[in-house]
Amino acid sequence: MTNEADAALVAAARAGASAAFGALVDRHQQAVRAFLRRLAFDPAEADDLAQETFLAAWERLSSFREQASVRSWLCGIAWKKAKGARRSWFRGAARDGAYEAQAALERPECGSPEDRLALEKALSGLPLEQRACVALCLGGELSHADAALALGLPLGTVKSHVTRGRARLLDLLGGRP
Amino acid sequence: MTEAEARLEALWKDGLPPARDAMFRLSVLQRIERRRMMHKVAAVAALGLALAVLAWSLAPRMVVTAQAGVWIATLSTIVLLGWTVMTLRRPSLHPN
Repeated sequence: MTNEADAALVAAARAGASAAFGALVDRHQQAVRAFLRRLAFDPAEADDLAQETFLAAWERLSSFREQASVRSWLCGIAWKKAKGARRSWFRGAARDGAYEAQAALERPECGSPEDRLALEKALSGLPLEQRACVALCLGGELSHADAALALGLPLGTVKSHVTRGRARLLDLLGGRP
Repeated sequence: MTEAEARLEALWKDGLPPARDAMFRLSVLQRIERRRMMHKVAAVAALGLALAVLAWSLAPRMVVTAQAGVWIATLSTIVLLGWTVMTLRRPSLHPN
């Protein structure tokens, strides 16, 4: 269920208030962008698709149903966008994998470069639907039920994908010294 | 929590975009404005086409001198351009 703050912002955005829609973007952009980055690996392409997701959400505000949370609704739009862009996108992701590998080595965040590479490689080895379930649920961004709504999958399938995907990632990371 | 679980948790948080990103929000709002503009231009173009088709369909029934025809075309163009300017200049997003 959508929370009260999101419901109020959606109502104001439907009336044309740009600040309200901007607030919705602020509240959910991190989750949507993180989801797309974990699917696609290239931050620039993922952010471009995330902007397209919010544009589509603005156009479809009237069709949003309060039974779903705003975040799961947005992630559902992002998922459809990702599948639509999949052919050229993932072909590009494979080609740019080497670039991303080098970029991961140079990123000055916490976690060793080898671990980040291992995580990205492990994610790329997951089937697409499983990767999407893990991307949505592993960090607690969405509940299993919300992820099932967003991805259009049965709840049991989502739980299974998250469990197996997490085990696979732990196996690959746990095997490293 | 095992070492692998701790490592996975740390790496998962590591890859997050910033919690607040004003530039991203601005980019989204700019895309929305561009889409609104395209809708308005399409609406004006559709109206112009509809008027042209209407005028063309009525032409055989009208007895119009050449001079009157020029005046009608000129006035129609001015009205259409004026409506276009007023429509495109109207604020598209509420301030609040």
